[in-house]
Order: sequence, then C-alpha cells, then structure tokens
Amino acid sequence: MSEQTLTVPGSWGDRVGEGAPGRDRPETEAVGERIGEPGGRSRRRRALWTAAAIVATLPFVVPFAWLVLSALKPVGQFYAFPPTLLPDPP
Amino acid sequence: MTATAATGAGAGAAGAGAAGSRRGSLVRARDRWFYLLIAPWLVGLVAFQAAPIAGAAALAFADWAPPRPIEWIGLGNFATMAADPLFWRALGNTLAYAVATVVPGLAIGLGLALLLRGRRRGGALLRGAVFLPAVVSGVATALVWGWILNPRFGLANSLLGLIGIRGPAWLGDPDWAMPALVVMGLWNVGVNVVVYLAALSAVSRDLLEAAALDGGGRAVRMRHVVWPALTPVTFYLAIVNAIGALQVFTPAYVLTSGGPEGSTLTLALYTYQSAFASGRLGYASAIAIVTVLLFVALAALLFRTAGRRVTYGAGEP
Repeated sequence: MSEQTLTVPGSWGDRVGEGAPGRDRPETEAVGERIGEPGGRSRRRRALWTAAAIVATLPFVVPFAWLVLSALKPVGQFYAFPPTLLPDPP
Repeated sequence: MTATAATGAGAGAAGAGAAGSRRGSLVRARDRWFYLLIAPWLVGLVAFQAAPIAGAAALAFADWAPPRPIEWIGLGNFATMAADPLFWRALGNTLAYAVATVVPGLAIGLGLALLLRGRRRGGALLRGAVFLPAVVSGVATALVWGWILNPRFGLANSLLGLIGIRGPAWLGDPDWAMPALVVMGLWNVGVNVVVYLAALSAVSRDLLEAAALDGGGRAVRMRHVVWPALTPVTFYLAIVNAIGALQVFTPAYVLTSGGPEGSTLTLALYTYQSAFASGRLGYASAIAIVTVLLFVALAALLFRTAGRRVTYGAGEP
C-alpha cells in the first residue's frame, strides 16, 4: 500500500524495482528505500523526467511552431535575417 | 431383423447424405455471397493495382515514348540501366538514406517511448507533440524544413550562429543535402513511438515482478524481459520503415529535384524523372521493377537474419 502511494502509476519501469538514478538494484532493496523515500527526492525525479521529456520533444515541436508562427508573419519579416520568432505586430 | 437393420442403416445413410448435401449447398451459397460481396474490392484490386503492375512489368521490356508506338527490346532497358551512372547514384543515395533513417529511427522511437511511457502529468501532451509531424503532409513537412534550412534566413543557421558556428548551405551543398533529408525523415518517428508505446504497455507485469524478485535490476529486466517482448514490433517497424525509406520521393522532389550534383537523387525520383521528364516510360518501368526486386531482396534478408532473433509471445506470462 505504501509502495502504491509512493510510486508513479501506470509505468512498469517506475513501479517495479526502480532504484536511484544511474544504479541498478534489486526490487526488495529499492522498494524498501522507496517507502522511506523523502518527498523531495520524488519531486526531483519527477522534475528531472519532465525536463528530459520536454528537451526530447523540442525537436518535434519547434519546426511545427515555426510553421505556425511563420504563417502569421508579413512577407518582409518572414525573409528578415536574423529571423524573428514572434510575428510583429502580433 | 437384419432386413430392418439394413433398412435403418440405409435410411441413416440417406439421411446423412441429405444432410451432407444440404451442408454442401449451404457452403456453396455462402461462397457465392462471399465472392459477390468482395467483388467491388476485387474489381478495384485488379483494375487499379494488379493490371498497372502487370503493365509496368511488361513495359520494362519495351521502349515506349508516347506518342511513338511501343517497341519491344527485351532486356535492353536493363542493359542501359547497368551502364547508367545516374541509376547507380540514385541506388546508392537511396540505400544510404535507408540505412541512415531506419536504424536511428528505431533507436529514437524506442528511446522516446521509454521516456514518455506511463501516466504522468503532461505526458499525453508530449506524446501528441512527438506524433504531430506524422499527421503533417509530406509536402508541408518538406517546405517547413526548406525554410528552416535556408542558408540566408533559416532558423537552423541562425541558431548555429548564436554559438559561433557558420552553418552550411544545407540543401544547396552536395555534402549536406542528404543529411538534411535524413533529418527530415527522422522528424517523422512518431509512428515508431506510438507502436513502441503500445508494445511496452503489453509487457507482462508478472514477468517483470518475477525478474525483479529474482534480483534483476533495470538493465537486466530491459535486456531479458522487455527487449524480447519488443522484438516482434521492432522487426515489423524495421521492415515497414525500410520499405518507406526505399520509396523516399517527396522531400527530394519538392526541395532539391535530386540536386545538388545528384546528391539527393533517389530511385523513386529517378523513376519519376525518367517517365515524366524524359518521357522514357519503358526505362522508368524497368527501374520500378528493379526497385520492387530490391524490396523483396531486402525483406528476405531481414527475415533470414533479424527474423530468427524475433521472440513471439515473450512479453506474455
């Protein structure tokens, strides 16, 4: 029960035997630690995951955002160098 | 009594015969309905797929540049192809593109699926963002990347300039044009990510827990439980991605037309140019036939090598 409240649901890697980052440890040891795991560490792990996921997603989002923002720019601004990110006037 | 038994047996046989005949007529009626119902699809298949493929196969042995009449030349087109440096260039470029997109595409897809799996806050949004390029049309994708990689006002060189790097001419540079197409190809790994996410969700938790209780750490579970369960989808994605890579056409056609200096000329583009720019329909058909044979050879190679390492049902308890 304690394990369920301390783990991120719905993901096998996080639910089963997740040790400290960068280490590979058996289930019992990891679960034992997780029960006594301070909330700050869990939050740090979640923040780290969020940061990694956002960075990994950026290459897919930026070109699409560029497409949408470019569609809103006047022609002169579209061909300007260095390029501007946001259309002016917005 | 014997006569009665014989009569009974005869009646039984007659009954069985009648039942069998009824069953047979039911099966025949069901078959008739089956063929009747699939007839529209069957007509479409023959008219729009089988007949054009057969026509292209026949044209590969002919010299035809409309409006001139067809002239049968046997293996002449294939002999011309063997001595055509542009064909070999296109073949080399296509294989290079396939190698550069398929293996990294699988690795990136798996990595992103492992990162984005599970129910986390914002996870659905990030998964949607990764899949977004897969729903954009190929022409729109090519145009966006054409602007981003523009050497004068593009975003790529502008960002490189921020860290003091003078970016190349990308699509205007023979050394960088193919890598640019590869980057565009890898932008579309969203389908791989979705397939891997589905496969990861199907891995048995019982097996994972059993492995964990046996002292298996993350790496061990990944190697001996998760990866075997992912081999069927990896094999499927490798085949599908390889066929897609060998058919690459849109970015090369829209952005470079095969240039600069033939560095982005692919088999599909060369087939198109031979047929509709040069008007050599027979020669284009011969290239198309060779491309199909290439697909078959590649698929056979994959089945003989990687196919043996696929473990079906590994993720089930």
